[in-house]
Amino acid sequence: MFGPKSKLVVLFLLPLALYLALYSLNQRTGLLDRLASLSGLEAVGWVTVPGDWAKETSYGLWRDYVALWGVRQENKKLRQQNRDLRIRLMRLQSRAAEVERLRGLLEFSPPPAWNCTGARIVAERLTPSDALQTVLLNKGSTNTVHSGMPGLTPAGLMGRVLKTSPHFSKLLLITDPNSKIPVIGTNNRTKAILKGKGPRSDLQLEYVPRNRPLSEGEIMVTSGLGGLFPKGIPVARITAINQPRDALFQKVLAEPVADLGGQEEILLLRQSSRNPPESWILDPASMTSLD
Amino acid sequence: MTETIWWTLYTLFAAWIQTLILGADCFGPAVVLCLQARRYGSLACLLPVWILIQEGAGSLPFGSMLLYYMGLIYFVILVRAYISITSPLYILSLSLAAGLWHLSIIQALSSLQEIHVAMEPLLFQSIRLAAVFPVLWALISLIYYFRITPSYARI
Repeated sequence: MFGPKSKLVVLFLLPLALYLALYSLNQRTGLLDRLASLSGLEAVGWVTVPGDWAKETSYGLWRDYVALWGVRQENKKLRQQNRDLRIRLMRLQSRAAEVERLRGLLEFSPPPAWNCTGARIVAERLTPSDALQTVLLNKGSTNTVHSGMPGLTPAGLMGRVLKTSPHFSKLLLITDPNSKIPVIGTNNRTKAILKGKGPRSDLQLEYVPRNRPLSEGEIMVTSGLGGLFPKGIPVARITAINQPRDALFQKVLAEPVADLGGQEEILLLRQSSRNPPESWILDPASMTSLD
Repeated sequence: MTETIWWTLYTLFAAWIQTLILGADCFGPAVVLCLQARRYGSLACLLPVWILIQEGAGSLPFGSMLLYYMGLIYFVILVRAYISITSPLYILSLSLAAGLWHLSIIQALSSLQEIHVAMEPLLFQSIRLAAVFPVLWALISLIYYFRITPSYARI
């Protein structure tokens, strides 16, 4: 019925038409994205966790019980203590800064109410279609994790949740070019948008007018604009400021304050209107289990 | 039965290996192997599962990996028509095609969807994909032909 040429054309056009139909359907309904998240992300998560567990357990056995049993235990304890102290220090620093700022303000706007939950980073890039800077977390929609939730460490912001499956989720890091965060300087209160430029590249502060003051080493915190991030989370430290002659805006580079590559656990913030905490600052006691 | 167990174990193992070799495609060489062994039924069952795994665990909207595997199948048909499977050129051209195809698809689809993808890591990811491809193909071909279906060990 078909010649070899027509057969080739049909073999080429038919799958292409099918692909375009599926692509359009997904663009309109998001059905395939949901299906892939529910099945693929979930499956990879379930495979990754026992695989990593086996790897870590074998390493852990050697390190903990054979080589440096006592030192390792003490180190773990000290690390935990250090983490708790950093959280407390951050709370006190932020409160002190907040008081200073509020003295100059007539109108006080209370910080929004947030709860936090812990999550473990179980993997980084998973597949060839993982073109964005993301990490896989061991908490998903059944743990009330949803898209857009901010993820942070005691040192500062790491990113926000991009997509979720029932038991896992993906966090878009602040270094990804699609990450844009409204920030404000801690010293000069200059507002800007912090944009990622890819891994191993500095972050860039956009839309900083030439006449707005900023200083090298200044910490940029979330401004709270847009409502996605609570106000006051440290995000980046300014590393370089350039004022091109013929540009409207300054060219400002910054580095993340959180160690994005070396984290194992992070905190996810959830807005809670029913049980508002005193402030957004993290209280170790309010953290839920990581597993 | 052996084949079902093999592919199930391979799928689980490949999904885990991909988390260790960042950005590598462990299912592409398996697609090539299925086509070589003329296991079209197995491929028809496995490919949707592999696509769902790749798409679901990826960070781009659905479509990129579906298009990638469709293209890969075309490349296999095309390359097989001109180059013998026993020639090293066969898998080297497929690896190169897979790397380039991956780079083009991610770039094209991300710009269509207005998603910014950093060029340098994407380039390295495609290079890594192309470099791992022949190694994995050789490894699974050896296991498959000599352990799973010894009667087919005549390539």
